[in-house]
Amino acid sequence: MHSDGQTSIDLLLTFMVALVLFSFLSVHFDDLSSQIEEESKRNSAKSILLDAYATIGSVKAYSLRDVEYTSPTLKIAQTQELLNCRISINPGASTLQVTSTTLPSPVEYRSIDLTGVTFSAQSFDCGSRITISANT
Amino acid sequence: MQKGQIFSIDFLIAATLTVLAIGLLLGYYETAATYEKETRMKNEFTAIALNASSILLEKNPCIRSAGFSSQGYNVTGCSEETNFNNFSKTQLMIPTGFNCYIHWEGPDPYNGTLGGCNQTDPGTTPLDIVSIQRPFVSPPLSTGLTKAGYEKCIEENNCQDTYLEFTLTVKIWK
Repeated sequence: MHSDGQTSIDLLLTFMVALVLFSFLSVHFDDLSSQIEEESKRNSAKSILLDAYATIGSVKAYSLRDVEYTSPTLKIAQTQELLNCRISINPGASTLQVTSTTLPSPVEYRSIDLTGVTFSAQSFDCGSRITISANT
Repeated sequence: MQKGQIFSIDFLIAATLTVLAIGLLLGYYETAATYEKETRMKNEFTAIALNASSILLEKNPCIRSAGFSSQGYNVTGCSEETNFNNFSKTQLMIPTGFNCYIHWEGPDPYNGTLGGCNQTDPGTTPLDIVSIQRPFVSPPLSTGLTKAGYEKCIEENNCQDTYLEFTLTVKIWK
């Protein structure tokens, strides 16, 4: 029987179970949060890779000359914090790569023919500008 | 409550609602993440397909009769499909790990499929696949594109002998 002002044992039990549940979820959410941040960085690097790839592809396809290309920067989506990042173009190995010390492994496209295009720099920081030209 | 009973119906209802709410929240996040991943993947496939088709069409310009360009004509959208098979997957900048099917369809017997990619149309079997179509024209091989034919096509709207109409289909998937 409940008296006036008495908190029932049900409510206390609910609080206790909820507390245990949330503590358990909190541990998993921390883990999930770091996974999301890691994935976000990787996706951002993939976007940079695709941007550089599409630009080089257009220069090659349409034989464009002196295209000034500024790559996007690598940021954490939630905080907009800038991260170090570098783009490497290797026509000899037919690879285009985006690396960052904050990523466990680089993101890259392999076996893409980059001959017929010249670059003012073959390795440069994300956010910086280079000139891309098709060979005539 | 009766003796020996630990959980009341109120508690069980509250616990059920809490679990449902958390489940809904996680389900929403999972759906959003899956949607974002699929959008990103399709953007990537589309960029690769557009790139490959542009290289194939632009690097194989149609054969023009002598003096055509020097007289001020700039022909766009005209490609020589008989040279398409000289291009490999690598030359079309389709990276390792991506599958492709490239087919051009014109009047018989001018249809063809790029040898460097899959030889059969995957249809819609892969879950994530992007297909783009790009129309282009190609002059009959024997004559090439002539100034006279080009002018006749513009002035008389009679293009039958000047060029054949094709559609290039590029499919990319993983």
